[in-house]
Amino acid sequence: MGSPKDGSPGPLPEPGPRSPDPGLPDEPPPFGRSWGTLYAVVGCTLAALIVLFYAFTRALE
Amino acid sequence: MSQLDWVVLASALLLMVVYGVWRGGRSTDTRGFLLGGREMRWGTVALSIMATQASAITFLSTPGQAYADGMRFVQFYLGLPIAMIVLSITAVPLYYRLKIFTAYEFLEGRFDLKTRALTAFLFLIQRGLAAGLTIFAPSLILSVILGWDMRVTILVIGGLVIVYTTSGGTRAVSRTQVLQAAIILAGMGAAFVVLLTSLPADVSLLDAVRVAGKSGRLNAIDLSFNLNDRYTLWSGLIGGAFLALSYFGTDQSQVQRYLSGQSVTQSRLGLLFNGMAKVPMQFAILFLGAMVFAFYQFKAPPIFFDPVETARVRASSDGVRFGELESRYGEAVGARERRARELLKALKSGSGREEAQRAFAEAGARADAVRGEAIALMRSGDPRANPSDTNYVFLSFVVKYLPAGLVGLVLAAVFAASMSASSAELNALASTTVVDVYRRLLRPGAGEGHYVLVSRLATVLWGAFAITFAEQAGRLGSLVEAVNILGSLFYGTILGIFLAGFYVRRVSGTAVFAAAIAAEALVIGCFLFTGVSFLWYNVVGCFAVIVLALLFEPWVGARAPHHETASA
Repeated sequence: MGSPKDGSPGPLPEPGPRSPDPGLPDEPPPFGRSWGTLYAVVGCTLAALIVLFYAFTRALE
Repeated sequence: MSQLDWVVLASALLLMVVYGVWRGGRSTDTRGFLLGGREMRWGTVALSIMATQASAITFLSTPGQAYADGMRFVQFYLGLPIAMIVLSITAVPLYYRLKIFTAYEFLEGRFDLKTRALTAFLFLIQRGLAAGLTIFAPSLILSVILGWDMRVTILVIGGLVIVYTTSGGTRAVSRTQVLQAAIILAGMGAAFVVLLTSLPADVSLLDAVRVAGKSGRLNAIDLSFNLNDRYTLWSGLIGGAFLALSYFGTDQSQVQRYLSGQSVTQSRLGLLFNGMAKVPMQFAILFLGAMVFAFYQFKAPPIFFDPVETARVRASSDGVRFGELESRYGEAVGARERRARELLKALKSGSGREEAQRAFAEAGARADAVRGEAIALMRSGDPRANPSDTNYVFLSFVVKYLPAGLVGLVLAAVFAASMSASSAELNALASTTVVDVYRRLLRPGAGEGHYVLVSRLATVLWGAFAITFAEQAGRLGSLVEAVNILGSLFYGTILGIFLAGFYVRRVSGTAVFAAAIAAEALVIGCFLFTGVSFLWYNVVGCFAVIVLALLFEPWVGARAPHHETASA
């Protein structure tokens, strides 16, 4: 049984405080240049939706 | 309901249960049963997250919310994308590094066992009750439409969910949610198309939008700042972000969904997709409700959308008076329809807009006044009668105006939504019960087979609890608000505990434990004794835990050992 890191999970670990697995790599996303770019896309989409909804509200009230 | 509707509904229910049992497989270890073997790709994770949050309450009550109060409820979701980004950066890699099964395991490593147990306990109370509401909503539909006994209906819905969740655990829940999402999309899409085609021939979609807008039903954004106003841009962005952080970051029913991802990358992508899609999805559901409102400006609505309460007052000693009010209401909505057409004419021609708009508003107010009299009459005869018919608005439209077959499809969508959410809830309740309570406190050291068996048993027992609570949930007003108010009573405190664990190095378990109890008392005090809107409870509870923990820390003295922080 391997660790979750390699995708082959083992049994329920012993109870009690768990020590972190320091070797987990921070993989880049499969699309977009970096995670920062993807976070910016989500944030900009939210900002655009708020502007759009506000325009929608004002245009039709 | 026609025979065709029954066939569609029964086929969909059977398909969901059989598919869930088949795709769930037969897990023999706890990682397989509680984490789905960590084999889900981001698309499945994303749909699973969305299907868990969007219960039948979302699809029943939200259109009614827009009908009664406009689209401003969409602001409730504006903090969600912010929370998705924060969680992708902090909680997801941390949970993966710690190799945990439940979010509450993290708290023992950071603080101590009692803080973990307290937080798991708060989750079990809150989510156990919410699971009851999730099962109650579709049961309400069947009892109202088909006259089924509510208890039998709740038992049937709860029973179906228990079957495949107990059989296949997390894998069954996540795989079935993909199928359920497809059924929901088909059902809601069909309802929207039929709604548009059912508008009078001389009323276009743009006309319907104009009427809804002039009636204040397209008020998606409110920039005012008022702590007592439930839905504003600021309460949504700030309070909503805190609520979403707590729900997605610390509620096991959601944490379990993204912990089933193959890797940090797959889980992050699932969360971010949810952040992109959730707000437009809620906007679409609310827009559907606003269009139902516009539709009923041209077709006479019932004076009260709850047919059971209406029938009760008609059969009572107030029946004659109620009949008179129904006649007056019919005349008032007839006048309102004429005013609506005049308004559209004025908007198109550009002349007399203000007068037409004023006349339309006055006609609407007269109709609303008659409806108010009818509700007051209903309440005078039976003070326990629910004055809110928000939950029945969309349902009433579906049954009356959708063709044979599509009624069954929409009902199947509502069932799919309820089953997807409640299965995730039962799955998470079982996980927390076994991992944080049974395995940690009651019986450590038993074999894997034993814990899988107890997990299945816990799923059945929580299902029974949810069913029992569902039978008492009929008098909570708008269901969607009831669920969110219930969540907000606990989420702020839970989030405060987790944020203290992530970011505040100077506090120990005992200080956080005492602060959490005080913060929870403060939130309940706000709920009972102030008019502060419920979204702010999340902010109050969260900050109270952190500030009080910092204040208590010098008093309780010794620091707990520090194991891990988000920045580590």
